[in-house]
Amino acid sequence: MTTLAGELAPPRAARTRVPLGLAAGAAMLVALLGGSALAPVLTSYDPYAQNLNAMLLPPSAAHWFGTDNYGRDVFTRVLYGAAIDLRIAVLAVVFPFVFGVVAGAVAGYLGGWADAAVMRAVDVITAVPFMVLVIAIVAFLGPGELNILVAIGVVDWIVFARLVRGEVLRDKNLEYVTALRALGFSRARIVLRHLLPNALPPAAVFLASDIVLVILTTSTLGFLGLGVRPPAPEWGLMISEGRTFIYTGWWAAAMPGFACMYAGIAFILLGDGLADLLRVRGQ
Amino acid sequence: MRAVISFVVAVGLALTLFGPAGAAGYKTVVQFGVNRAADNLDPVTQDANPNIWAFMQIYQQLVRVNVKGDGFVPDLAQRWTVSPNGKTWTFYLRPDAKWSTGDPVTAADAAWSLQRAHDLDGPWKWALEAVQSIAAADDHTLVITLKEPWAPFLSDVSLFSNSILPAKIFRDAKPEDISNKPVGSGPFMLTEWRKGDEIVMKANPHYFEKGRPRTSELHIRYIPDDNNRMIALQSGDVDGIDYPPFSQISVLRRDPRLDVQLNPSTAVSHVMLNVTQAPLNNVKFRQALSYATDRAAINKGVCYGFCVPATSFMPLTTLYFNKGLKGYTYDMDKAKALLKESGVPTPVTLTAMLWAGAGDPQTATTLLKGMWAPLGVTLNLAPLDRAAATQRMRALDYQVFVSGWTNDVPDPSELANYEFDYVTAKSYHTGYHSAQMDKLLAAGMSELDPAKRRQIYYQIQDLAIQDAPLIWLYYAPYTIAINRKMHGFVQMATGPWLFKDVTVEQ
Amino acid sequence: MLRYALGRIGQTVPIALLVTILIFLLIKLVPGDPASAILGDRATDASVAALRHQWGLDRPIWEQYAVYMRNLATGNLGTSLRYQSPVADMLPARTSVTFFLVVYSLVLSVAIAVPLALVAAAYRDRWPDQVIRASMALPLAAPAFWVGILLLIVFSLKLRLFPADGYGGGFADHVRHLFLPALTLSYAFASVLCRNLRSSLVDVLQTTYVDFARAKGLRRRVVLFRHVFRAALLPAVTLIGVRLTYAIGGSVVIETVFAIPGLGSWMVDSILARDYVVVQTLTLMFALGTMLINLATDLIYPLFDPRLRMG
Repeated sequence: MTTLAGELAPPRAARTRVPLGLAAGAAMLVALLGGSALAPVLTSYDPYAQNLNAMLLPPSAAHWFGTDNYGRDVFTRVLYGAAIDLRIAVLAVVFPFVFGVVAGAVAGYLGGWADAAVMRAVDVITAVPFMVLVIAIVAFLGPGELNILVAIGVVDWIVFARLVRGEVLRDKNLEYVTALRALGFSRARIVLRHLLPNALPPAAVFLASDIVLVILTTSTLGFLGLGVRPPAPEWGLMISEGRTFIYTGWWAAAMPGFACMYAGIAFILLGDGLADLLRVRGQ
Repeated sequence: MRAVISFVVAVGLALTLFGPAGAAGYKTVVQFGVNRAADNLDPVTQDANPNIWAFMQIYQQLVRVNVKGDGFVPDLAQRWTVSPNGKTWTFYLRPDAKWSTGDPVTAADAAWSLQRAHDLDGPWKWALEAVQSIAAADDHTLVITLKEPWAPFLSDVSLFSNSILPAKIFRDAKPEDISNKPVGSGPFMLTEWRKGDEIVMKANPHYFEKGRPRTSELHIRYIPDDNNRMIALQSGDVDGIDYPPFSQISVLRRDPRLDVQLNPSTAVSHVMLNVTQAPLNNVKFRQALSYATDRAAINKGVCYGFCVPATSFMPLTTLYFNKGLKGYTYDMDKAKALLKESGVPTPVTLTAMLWAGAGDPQTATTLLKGMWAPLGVTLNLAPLDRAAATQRMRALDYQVFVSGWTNDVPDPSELANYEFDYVTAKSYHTGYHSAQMDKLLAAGMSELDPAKRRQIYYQIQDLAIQDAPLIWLYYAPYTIAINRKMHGFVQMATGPWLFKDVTVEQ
Repeated sequence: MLRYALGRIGQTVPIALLVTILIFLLIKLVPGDPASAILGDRATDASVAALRHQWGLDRPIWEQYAVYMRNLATGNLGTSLRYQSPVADMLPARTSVTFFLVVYSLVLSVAIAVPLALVAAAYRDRWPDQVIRASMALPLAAPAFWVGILLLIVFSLKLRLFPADGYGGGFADHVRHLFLPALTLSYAFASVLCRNLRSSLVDVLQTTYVDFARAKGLRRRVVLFRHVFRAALLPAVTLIGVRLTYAIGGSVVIETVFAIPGLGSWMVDSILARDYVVVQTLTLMFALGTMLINLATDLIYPLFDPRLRMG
């Protein structure tokens, strides 16, 4: 998970133009969220309504993305599914982000046993591949949306913790922080008012790419049958259910995959754009 | 010169017709792709079709169910007699049968194997319940004495759990030793088992039927995903596959190289209802659900029209199946009326447990959700892994569960007792318990007159429909797809494949 | 250097111990009972109880853990509940499959990423760079299992170029059978590697020692390859380490999609069958593999530091 952060590390040369990616990513996201929110208006189909006389129809004017094996409109389901996948993605990163940032800041600033405790926990979780651990935890808790959130929460915070700890460690011996300490400012105030604001931007940039990872993880769990319960139009579940029909109805699996990719690209652009923006500010 | 040519042709013909494994023009290995992996090859302790179908290549029984699943054929026993009082059965074993080690199969082996199946507390213990004693009279004569006359005895003896194993080798073996290194007298012997991947079998050189098996190696490969399995068949990686999904049957049939078979089965798919809890303890409510279940639509949505809507709890091929039954025909008005009569207030929410990732049951459950909605019944789907689902089912900690049964014997008693006798399995884990049913079940076991037995099982079917502890959905055929170069493949109605006659052209 | 290495190795041991506890606790708390699952629908309650006792499932959790650790220490990795045979017997064949797959995907990633990164860096901000960067962003957003299914449709079903399952026999056969899965595993890796390598190449190109090398009169291509590329490898090594651990995690899903008999598909099968001994051992194996890779990355890192070499 550090990889995306790594590649987004600020380069030395600042670009002065407006980050196009930010605008494009935001526009794509707004379109998707708007489409999902307005789904009842945009399509006349019910995402759950079965029609066995319209099974596996290819894409057409009536069914833009075709129909699945229950005769449900795939476009409608993809739109409704956006609400599920994006909700999980955003909810799933909130806890790890908050907890990771706090744990990282505390560990970095206090050092000593606090740092040791946080870092050992980070080491242990890092030692098990992300996907393996998430799958294992969901298998333990059973499938379902809440359990996905818990599993990702338990595993995902370590990246933010490591990131913020690194930033705080670097900054805490800078002259101005030493000066603040000499002036008698409280630890909490130094961390909250001075160190965190500097450490947050890189964490926020990483947040965007972490959401991509969470979207992919959610759909992977859905694919393995460990995710959201059927017949919810979750994208991974739709791919899993649709893949039986790759001979007779490729669209049932392909379309939700494209939706997943679309959302991922939107967040990547958003993250890249955010990184660019912060670089410009930093100059 | 002509003589030489005719000699060559004659030898060639002989090789083709009666040829030993590996004859010119034929493959030496049959590759078969399966959707579930075998995990236990001990016939007595295991409980799953992938195991049974694999070890049926290795073991023989005294008697075997015939291919159609409605009668018996000799296997290790050439013939058998029953005493006039119906209590003493004598089996005469074929003298030429040998273990794959080369040692002869004796009545002592058979006696030990059946005794083990009788004593071991496994899932098939009921099959020899009526047995008083088992003894070898001489090397090739086995005498079994029953406590009382027992109608389905031959059927019980033919069950795979009563496979005959070499006593000398396994006398002190644990079940896992038998599973890991099975030895039998059947057409094939296990040579390598990469668990969860591939079972490799070689022809048993001592198999009593000369010239069989016709191909020297059989590889059973575990390819869980339907697509991978179908592509493996179409690309020639494997010669045949089991369970191509119903949705793809018509597509595969367009491929001229493939023979897509829908084989008669003893399968029945059903919805289990936990009748110990409200509102499913209300018989009118269960009847309402039964009427609201559109079997024709399920046949279309799950089986793409290749199944037969179920009219009884019994599979089609079972002895005493009542062809005259109509079962529950889809009738929403009747369902609504019954629901009103039941007094169950709507809307009702029920939870359907299902195995995560299970194909057809999941589709069926999803369809049920749509069908029951107009009745005011909301069906929520709760996928669980197999282990958790099984545990909940056993503890009667569920409401609705779509599952299925396959008969292993033609006699109806195995299924009837499992499904409606509370003591055997809490009536298929529904919790159903009826004194009237208990009486009928007991009568079915002891009545020896076929005509009277038929009447008893007709009554059982009627009562089952009336009490509706389960909703019977459809009878599915076994789907198999094989390359047309593969010849001699047979699937029995009870499920197992016969590979001993199989040849595969190169 | 030796002290650093020993110290780094020493850190790994307590972490490995903590990992075993984490894994053990996770699996033990799973609802559902392996005994019921193994014996199936038709087992009696008594036989289920007997099996639970036989496996020690009725003993206190810490006792089970102690037994597990003692067994591990003596090289006994447990007996698969489902298959009733030692996990250690089943492990080597499956490990070699996954190892082959992961290394294969690494080779493919490097083969894809390095040339593209060099081109992109050499043509920075011109159209080849833009095209490469844009196309390399796409794979990051696509779910690997979905890409695997698409590859399966195109290359196995339509074009019949590659098999859809298994591992094959012999090296050439392995290469053929695992091409699509390795490609699926590698595309995201290649994308990250390419973007990363490009940006470090660009960074290094702007540093003074490159100017110095140029000033010495070295040709552009020589500078790019001999000095810049080597310097840019430094972050790439770390990245390769991290991505390798990703590939191990990704193998769980990809092996399931392509029906490959490796550790990953075994893991998924075992989770569904509640074969907790296997799940424990496999998670431990995945963790050990990850820890070894991290260790190797940290040990290799100093060797690539250009400042040491330039000095």
